[in-house]
Amino acid sequence: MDLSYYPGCTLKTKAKGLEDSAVASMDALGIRLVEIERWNCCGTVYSLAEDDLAHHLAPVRNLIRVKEQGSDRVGTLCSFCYHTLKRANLLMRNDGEKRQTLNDFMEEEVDYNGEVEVVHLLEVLRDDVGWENIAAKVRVPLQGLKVAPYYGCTLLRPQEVAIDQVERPTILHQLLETLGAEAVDFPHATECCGSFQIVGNPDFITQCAWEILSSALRRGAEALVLTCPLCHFNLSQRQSELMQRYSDFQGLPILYFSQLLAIALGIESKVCHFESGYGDPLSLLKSKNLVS
Amino acid sequence: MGKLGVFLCDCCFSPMGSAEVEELLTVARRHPDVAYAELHPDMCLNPKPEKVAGVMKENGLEGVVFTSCTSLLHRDTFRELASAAGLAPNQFEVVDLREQIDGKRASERIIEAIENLAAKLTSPQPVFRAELPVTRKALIIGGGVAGIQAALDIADAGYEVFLVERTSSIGGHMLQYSEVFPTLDCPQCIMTPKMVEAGQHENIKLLTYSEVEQVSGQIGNFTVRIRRKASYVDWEKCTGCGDCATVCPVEVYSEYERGIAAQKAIYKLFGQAVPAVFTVEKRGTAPCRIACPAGVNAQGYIALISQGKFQEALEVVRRTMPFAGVIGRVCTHPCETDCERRTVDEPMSIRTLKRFIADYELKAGREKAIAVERTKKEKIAVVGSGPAGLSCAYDLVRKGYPVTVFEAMPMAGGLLRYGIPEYRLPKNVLDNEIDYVRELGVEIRTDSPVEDLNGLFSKGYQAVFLGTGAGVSQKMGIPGEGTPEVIHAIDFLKRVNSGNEVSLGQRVAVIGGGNAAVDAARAAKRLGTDEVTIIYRRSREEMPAVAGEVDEAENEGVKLHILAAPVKVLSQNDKLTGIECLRMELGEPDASGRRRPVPVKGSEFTVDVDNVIVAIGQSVDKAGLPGEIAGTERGTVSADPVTLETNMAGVFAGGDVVSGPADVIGAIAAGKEAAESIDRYLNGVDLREGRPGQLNKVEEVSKEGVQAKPRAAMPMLDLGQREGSFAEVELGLDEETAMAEARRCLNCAGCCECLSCEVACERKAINHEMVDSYEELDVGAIVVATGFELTPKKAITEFEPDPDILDGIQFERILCPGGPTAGVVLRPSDAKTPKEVVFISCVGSRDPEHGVPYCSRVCCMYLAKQAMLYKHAVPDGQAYIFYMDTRSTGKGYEEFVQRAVEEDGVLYLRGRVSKVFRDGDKLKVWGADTLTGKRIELSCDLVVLGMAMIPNPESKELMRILGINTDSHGFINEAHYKLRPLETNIPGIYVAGTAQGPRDIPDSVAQGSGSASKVLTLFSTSEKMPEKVAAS
Amino acid sequence: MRIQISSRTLHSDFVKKVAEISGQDLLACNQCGKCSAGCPMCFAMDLLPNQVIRLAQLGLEEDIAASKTVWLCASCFTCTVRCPRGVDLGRVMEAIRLITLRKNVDYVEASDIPRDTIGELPQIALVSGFRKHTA
Repeated sequence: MDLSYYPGCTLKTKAKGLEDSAVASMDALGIRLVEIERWNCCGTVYSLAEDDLAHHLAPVRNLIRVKEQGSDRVGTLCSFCYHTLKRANLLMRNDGEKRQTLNDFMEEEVDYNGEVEVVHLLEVLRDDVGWENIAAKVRVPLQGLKVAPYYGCTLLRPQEVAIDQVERPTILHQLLETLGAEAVDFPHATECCGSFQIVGNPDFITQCAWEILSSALRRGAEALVLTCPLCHFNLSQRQSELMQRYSDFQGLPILYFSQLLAIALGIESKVCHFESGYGDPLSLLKSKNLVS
Repeated sequence: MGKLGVFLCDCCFSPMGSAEVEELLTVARRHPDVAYAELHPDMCLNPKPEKVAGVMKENGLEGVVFTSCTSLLHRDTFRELASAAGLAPNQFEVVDLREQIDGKRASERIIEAIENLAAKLTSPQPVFRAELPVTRKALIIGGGVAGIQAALDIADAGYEVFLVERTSSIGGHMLQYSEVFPTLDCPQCIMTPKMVEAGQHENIKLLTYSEVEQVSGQIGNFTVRIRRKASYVDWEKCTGCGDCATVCPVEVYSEYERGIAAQKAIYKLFGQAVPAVFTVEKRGTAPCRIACPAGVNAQGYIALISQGKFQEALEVVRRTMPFAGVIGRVCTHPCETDCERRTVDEPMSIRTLKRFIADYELKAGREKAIAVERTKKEKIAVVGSGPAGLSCAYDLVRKGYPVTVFEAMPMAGGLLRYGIPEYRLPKNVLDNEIDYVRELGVEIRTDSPVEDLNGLFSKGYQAVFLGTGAGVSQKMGIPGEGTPEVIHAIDFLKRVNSGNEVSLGQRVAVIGGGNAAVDAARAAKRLGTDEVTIIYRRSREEMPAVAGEVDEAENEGVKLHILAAPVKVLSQNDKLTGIECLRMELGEPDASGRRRPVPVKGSEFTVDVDNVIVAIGQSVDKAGLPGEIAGTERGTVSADPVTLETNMAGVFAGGDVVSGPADVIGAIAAGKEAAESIDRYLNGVDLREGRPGQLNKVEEVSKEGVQAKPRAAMPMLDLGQREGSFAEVELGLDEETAMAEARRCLNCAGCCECLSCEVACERKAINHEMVDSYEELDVGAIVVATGFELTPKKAITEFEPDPDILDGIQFERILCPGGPTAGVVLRPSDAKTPKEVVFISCVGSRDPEHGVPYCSRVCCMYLAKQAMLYKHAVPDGQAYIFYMDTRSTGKGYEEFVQRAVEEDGVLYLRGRVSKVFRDGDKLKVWGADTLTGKRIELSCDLVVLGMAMIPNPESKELMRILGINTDSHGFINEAHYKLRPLETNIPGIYVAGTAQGPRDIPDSVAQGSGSASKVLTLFSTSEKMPEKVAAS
Repeated sequence: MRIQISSRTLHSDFVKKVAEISGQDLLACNQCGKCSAGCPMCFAMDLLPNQVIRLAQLGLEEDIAASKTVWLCASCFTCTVRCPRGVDLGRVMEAIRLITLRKNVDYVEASDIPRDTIGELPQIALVSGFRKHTA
């Protein structure tokens, strides 16, 4: 099965490990991700102002690209892109007046009415591939690996974009268990990492990261798995400072869900680009004999 | 010329303007039947019948339409007015205009009324004012405090009352509480006298454990059908002594204790229950029992094992079949496949537990069984002493028949003896169970083949069961199969099991993937063969053999060669040298759903062996069958799938001889079915009609609070000790492990029907066969007092589920001196005293986005009270209450809250809570104090949620039956919000208590008395039947 | 000094603008404080989110303008999904930010951010940060 795919900016630079491992894993599961042509930045955040339509243009143009290519579904990986595209799409689908204005403004484009379905690849894994089929293809069960599933914000909130239950979601838990790992449920799984506040207020992110990481550690996690490149950055890049601040904090490896998926499917670990991230997830995986 | 008049009442409060009124009059006057239409201001306030009569006479009117702004309040006014003016019921109509403010609809209503009236007047049927006698008996639905109050008031006035209650005792929620606000009375102390009074009142008939099924009729004359649910205890005989509950091995969720403590499957609702009787909780049949072809009551014996009652447990198995030890070893256990526990962690070790109780008796030494008294004359012959034959004989001998089993072999047992190796089924186990059947009175004649069925009849047998099995090995049909070193598994195993010498070479190939193949392979290994290889044409997952057996075979050194099929047996100088095979691959699924093996061309390869054991299936020995019996194309005996009749009258057949090779439990089931048929046949009863049939499977099994726990592992004989030995491999569980394993059972069916209670009850009050019964009641009035529930905690998803997060009623149980902790405040997770307790109000209420928009009204008060009682119980503890506003509007309520704050130091924090989660042995509560503008984090030991009150969900269907209106939340709508608060939309049906909306005890009791007074008003009128409003 | 409240403050242009830009009914808020109780950035805020709403209800624009709260909101929507009254606080925060930003007053100065940091941050951080904090 082919699936149109929108990568977004960060996946091409800072989060190659997320993209490459996901593309390779989906391929192994029989889903070919077809990157859409001429895509542009999604705008990263969905405009929350009633009177600001200009910022919806960027995500809608990407959806028009999908439609032009004859596809009615687009998969995303980055939580920010998912959120922005999903909400812009709902706006085009449900608000006739704003849709008209936006379509009128983009004279050069075909009219768009929200025909495309925006999905996150986790949903594709759950709903299209199915946990059982994934389980059947696991070649390196992640046995003995205790992983805290961390969802962050933009895949779950608000309700209209939620890929799972808003509170106490389970989709990452289910993926981890499918891969043979132990999902370590922890209370901060949906707490915000501080997001873009990293730009102006990095100290606050240190505080947010500490709450999340220490909570996962208290429940016995050996690693934390997530979907969002910004969460990944905030939760891993602050760790060196946290180690200085808290002498008994030894660090907590942060992994993308797709990296664990690729490892479990027996795909060569180079698609995970472990070398380019922060922290050292590789030695944990090696200590569990999951990668050589 | 029209003969009707329209009197339009109007006043300054009317919803209509003068233009609309004028318009209505014009519409009315235009109607051909109308001769008169005028405005009569303030007619409702000042009705003048003489004026109406005058107008009528003046205009020659025969009928009148009155309009009122709201008939809810004025209908009776106009009715009285019409009556006083001398109008018969068919001579007037009252139109309600309030809901038709929109002028067009109002005029439509008036036209409609005019036409109705015209039709009534021209109707050839004379219409009289119905004057039916009122049935002066009342039905109260709901035995909580409001219902009890209503019942007592009506009964005290001298009228008969039926008090229907869904549970087995009256009392309602109030009995669950600790002391109640604001006076801190003990509810048990103040309530039990009322309950006893209701129970003993000569005018009150309690119908507990009952539900209203149907209502018809109208005010003054309702007919009500009540379902009296089977309690399985004869309440006339039950003294409430509790001997039954003492022996009951099953603990189930207790609705009364709300999960804080469990109750026995036979239970009295609570200590002071009225009536003080026991009830059995049955939820249907457990999935394990449904899955068992023979219907063995697994939950029954497992529950008894959990209590250490091993002998009693074995008797439960023996109620169905004699083979606990055999089946406990060799069963394919479909029960475990369906075991509900699998959805939590792993299925129960049902088979192993059954084996455990058999072993327990065998080890302790079994007393000789007492022969069953022979009560029947008809002799029955059973041909074949395998599991089917012996099970049939077992059931028949217990029915009192003389039964003789004919066995061709020297010893009884069939394939159990000759097909299954000793290491899997020791002969002493089999012998013991066959002996048991013998001791009951079954005669077993070995070395006695039966060739002629007619001969049996001529010898005086009146019915025959044919269960001779399928004991012939199938052939492979490949070249070289006739080589002497090719042995068939059945023959091989028969020789091994008979203790005969079998000589095998050093390398043996076993062809096939079923249990016989694995048995043969493991037996060959034990006989000293170096290399045993199983060759099977499909994949390992598809091997029909029990998976654990395959694993053990491999552990013992048997090699597995899957996806390979033999094509030729190779030999040199008449001596077998090997077997040529083809590799297979899996193709499309076949009829069995398994993927079909397809040969890979040119993939021939050779396995060098000295012997080949063929185990590719068995079939029925045609030559051994009596000639008269009809067969199928497959070579089996043809028998009716339900009755097991054959073509010969009086001959029934079952087991492998009919089904082809199948499992032991299936054969046992067939033997039992045949026994049922034979009994029916001999008594001239229809063979099909009314056979014990479909069982009702339990629909939903609660797994709340069930902790995952792996199933008991079977201890195994060390590999080293297995070589050259046929000693049993599976060693069985010890007592402690068996009991622990048994405690994993979820008790799906509630009552496990072990019948221990029947034995314990001296008054013989227990009747497990009881069925629901129905009663029809005639009553004149109905009071609905069905009460409330709390929103389930799980609806609040931002609070992590945790045993130490309780709802208000759960905490009442912990505070209650009569509760499971005897009023000592201990938290559920670890039974420690909580030192910091957080109470949260408005959970799920005042929250239109996630719960209900309304205020639950009582939570402010009961949380203050619980905080106060907590402080009384734990003086060094600290209570916190998160609140939005404190609503303490009753008499003495505000003072009460102040007392909690000032005297008990309860800290009020103004803000909602956003999240609760566990952190080690503490619970973390994230709230806010909006008064200081601070975010609050509290680490506490226990959290109590003031969950929103909702109408009792069980009452939803009742509202439909009664035809009474509810609001969008399910609370009963009053006839008028302010002025008719106790009446429903159906005349004669009244409401009391929380069924109408959230309220506290004093208000509920007041409503109980109020509704009683409504009923008594109705009963005090001489004759009353104002109009026909059907209840449904 | 006493704060003056009148129908003029309650119906000021500021209140209207917040309602218009956010599309939210500020009066729906009954000040339960659940937004503040669950806010992940609250530890750094000088006013709690519910206080910002309250000040907006009262039309006290200057008090809001003097507070950092709306700039610390990370648009995580925790308050939005939990608000019992269905107020989308994320949108209210955005509206208040925009009222300032549209006066061409930036909260973050791009030139203040060290070059290394810009090189290190993922693109989504930079773009969203500038979207939320600059005109």
